[in-house]
Amino acid sequence: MTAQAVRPVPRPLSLLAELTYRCNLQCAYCYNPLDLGAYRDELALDEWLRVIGEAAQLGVLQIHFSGGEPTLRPDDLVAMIATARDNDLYTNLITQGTFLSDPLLDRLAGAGLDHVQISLQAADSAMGDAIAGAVVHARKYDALRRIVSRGKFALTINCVLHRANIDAVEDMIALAESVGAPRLELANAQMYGWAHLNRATVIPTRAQIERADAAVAAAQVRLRGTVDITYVRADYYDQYPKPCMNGWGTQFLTIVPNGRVLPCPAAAAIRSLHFENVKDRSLESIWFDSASFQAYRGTEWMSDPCRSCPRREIDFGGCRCQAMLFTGDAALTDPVCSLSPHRALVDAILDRDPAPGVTSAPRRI
Amino acid sequence: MQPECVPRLRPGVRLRAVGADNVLLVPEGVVKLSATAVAIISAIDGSRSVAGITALMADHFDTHGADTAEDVSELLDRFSDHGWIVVEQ
Repeated sequence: MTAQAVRPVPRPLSLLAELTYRCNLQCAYCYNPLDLGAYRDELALDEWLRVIGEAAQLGVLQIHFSGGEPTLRPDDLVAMIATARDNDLYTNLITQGTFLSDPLLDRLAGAGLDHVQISLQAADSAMGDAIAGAVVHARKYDALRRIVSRGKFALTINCVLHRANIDAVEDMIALAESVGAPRLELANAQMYGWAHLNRATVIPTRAQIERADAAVAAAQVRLRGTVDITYVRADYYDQYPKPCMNGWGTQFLTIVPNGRVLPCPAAAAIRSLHFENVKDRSLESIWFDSASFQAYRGTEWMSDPCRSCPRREIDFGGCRCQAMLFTGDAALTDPVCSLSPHRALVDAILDRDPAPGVTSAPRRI
Repeated sequence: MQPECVPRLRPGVRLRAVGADNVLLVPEGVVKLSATAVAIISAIDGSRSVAGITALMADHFDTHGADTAEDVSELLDRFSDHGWIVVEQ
C-alpha cells in the first residue's frame, strides 16, 4: 500500500431531488429503477423542506427537481422551489411538460423558478407519441411554446437519443431553432434501469452514432450564439469510460422519492451498498460519514487496471453502476474501458439488431 | 461586441457569493469567475452599454483604453455565445 496524501472531502454542488417516480409516460429508455413500487412511500413536504435547508448548509448551490414527473406533486413542488430560493439555491425543474398549465407556470414563476428543462421524445408528433407510449407530443410542444413566449425562465429542451430517434436528430435541432429555444441538450440514453433492461432495442448502432456525432458537431458551429447545443455522447463505442459523476461523492447527490440518498441517480442498482435515508440521518452526516458515500471516493478502492492507470484521476474508474450492471461487481473497472478484462460484455450488445420478436418493455406507470 | 450594445443577463442567470468568491449560476452549471469577470458582470444592469461598462472598468481597475475595451468585449462575446447574456442593439 502506497502512502497517499489524505485529501479533504469536497462539499457537494448539486442536489437531484426526485419527488416521485410516478409518470404518465412509458419511455423504454428511462433510467429509473425497475422496482418502482419500492418508492411509493414518498417523502412528505415537511421532510423535503428540512432537507433543502440542510443541503444549502452543506454547500449545495443548485437543486434539480425531477422524478418520475415532479409536477405530479404540484403544490409540494411550488413550496420546495420557494424554500430553495429562500436558501439562495438555483432551481431547475426537469419535466416532460404534460402538466404545465398556465396557472402552474404562474405559480412556478411566483416561487422563483430559475430554469425549466423540458423533454421531447422526437420532433415528429407520431414518433414522439410512439416513444412516450402515450398521446402527449402535442401537449408537450404547446407547453414548450408557452414557456418560450413567457420568456420568464431559462429554458432547455432535452431530447434523449436512442436507436428509434437518433437518425432524426437534425429534425430535433431544427425544432429547437424554429421555436426559439436558447438551449438544446441531446443526450444519448444511458443504460440504467429500464434502458438497461431494454438495451437491445435502445442502443444505436455505431453507424447511427457516427452520423449523429457529425450532424450535431455541424449544428453546434452553425447555431453558435443562437441555440447552445450540449451533446452527451454514448460511451459504449468509446475507448475510455465517462468520468461518472466527476467522481463518487465529490459533487453530486441524489435523493430518491422514498428519502434514500445516492451518490448517483442509478446507484440503487448496487445492492451491496446500504443507502441511508434522510428520515434517519442528516444530509451532512450521510455525505461525509456514511459507508455508501465513502465506498468509491478517491482512488483507494480501485483494483487493477484502474489502480495503476495514469487515467485514474481523469475518469475515476468510470461508472460504478455500469460495472455493477455488466459484471455484478461495482468495484471493478467500468467494462466500457478498453483496458477492462470485461470489455467483451459491452461489445456483445453493440452493433447488432434485436433478436426477432424482441420489443421494448414499456416503463410501468 | 459593439460599444453601443446594451447587454443584460438572461433569465435564469445569477451572480451569487460563495464564501469570499462569486460564481455565476447558470442552467445546469456553476461558473467560477475571475475578479475581472465579476466586476464586468456586476456592471451589467440592462441599461449600461458596452462602452459604459468599459469606462467603469477602466476607472475601477485603473487601466485605460484599447486593452480594457478588448477585454470587456471579449468576455461579453463569450458569455453571449453561452446564452448567458443577450444584447439589445
